[in-house]
Amino acid sequence: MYNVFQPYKKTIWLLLIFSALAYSPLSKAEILIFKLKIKGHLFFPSELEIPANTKVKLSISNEDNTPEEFESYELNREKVIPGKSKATVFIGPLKPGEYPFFGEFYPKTAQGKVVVK
Amino acid sequence: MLTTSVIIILREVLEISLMISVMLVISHKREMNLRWFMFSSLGGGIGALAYASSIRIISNSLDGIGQEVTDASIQIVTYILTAFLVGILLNPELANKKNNRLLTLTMSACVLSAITREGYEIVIYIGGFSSDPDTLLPVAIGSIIGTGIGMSIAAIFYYALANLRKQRSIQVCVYVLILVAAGLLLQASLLLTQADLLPSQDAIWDTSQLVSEYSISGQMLYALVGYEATPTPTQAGIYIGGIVFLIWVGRYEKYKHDNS
Repeated sequence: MYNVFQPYKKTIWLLLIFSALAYSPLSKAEILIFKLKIKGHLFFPSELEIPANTKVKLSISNEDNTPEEFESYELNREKVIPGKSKATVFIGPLKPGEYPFFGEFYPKTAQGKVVVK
Repeated sequence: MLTTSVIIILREVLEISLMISVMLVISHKREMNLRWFMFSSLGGGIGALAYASSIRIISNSLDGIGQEVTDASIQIVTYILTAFLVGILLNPELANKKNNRLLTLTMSACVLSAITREGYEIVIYIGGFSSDPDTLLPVAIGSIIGTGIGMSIAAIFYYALANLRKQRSIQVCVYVLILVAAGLLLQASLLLTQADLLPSQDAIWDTSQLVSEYSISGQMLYALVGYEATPTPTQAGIYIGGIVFLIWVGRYEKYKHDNS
């Protein structure tokens, strides 16, 4: 039988190797951690100040029983966080300015912004 | 609550509607038995439930980036499957083959992974309200409306594509698949950036003045072809590379046949 996969064998291998490399644990420099809390469908703090041009790690803990989705178009981030659990999201390095974020599941109340200074 | 749930569910349904419409058109044009679709959507539903129920374990794995890695992996696998699909569809020797198992398997895998990936968010969203009877009703109604609108749009896509002549129809399906698959690759690269596995860079351009991601057209474009107003150079490169590679796959299949 004619094998359609044959011509792409090399490409497939390259893709596999590339993805294996991308996922391999690389040594990481110390990263600043900022904490964000979701409670009663609100973000605490609702304004989070972070330094400019620095990569930071957001540790978001959802203390509600309901799930929430952390979302920001300005930061290009979205992540589902189940109720009573924590999530990690990396942001930056960013230029000074304001970057709004919201909870997609409760967008009316769950709002906040990252202020980069 | 009602409008929010309409929008959320509509978005998730739209994200898989183009791909599923295209698959069904191909299935129709190639005169395939629809059993493959029943099994793969059922499998996708089970996959979504399994993913949603283990979301805590997945989220907390790999130092808190397990969710990104899993989602991105599913998206990358779907992209690779689409590459096979494009190759199979444009291979003239396979064009009139009945009961093409390779085609059935590839399409099943695509549908299964698409439903798993978008479905788990729906399961988590609705599941979160199950303990609260006050909000469950509006959320349930909103979800039904959202699903209804999403499926209607999917039906419009389906008939628009199915009404074309066979050759033309498959051709347009391939173009749509290429755009959808490259969009998946772009979304995967966003997730890997969020997980700090791809470099974080300044945006290469900003089209948010032109089409804002907050707007309805921005949301539609996001859901259908993975629109991103502010991609980084890496992300833009991956998107364009993703399109070019699939076009090359299609060309190669044709070229090989013309010269043999």
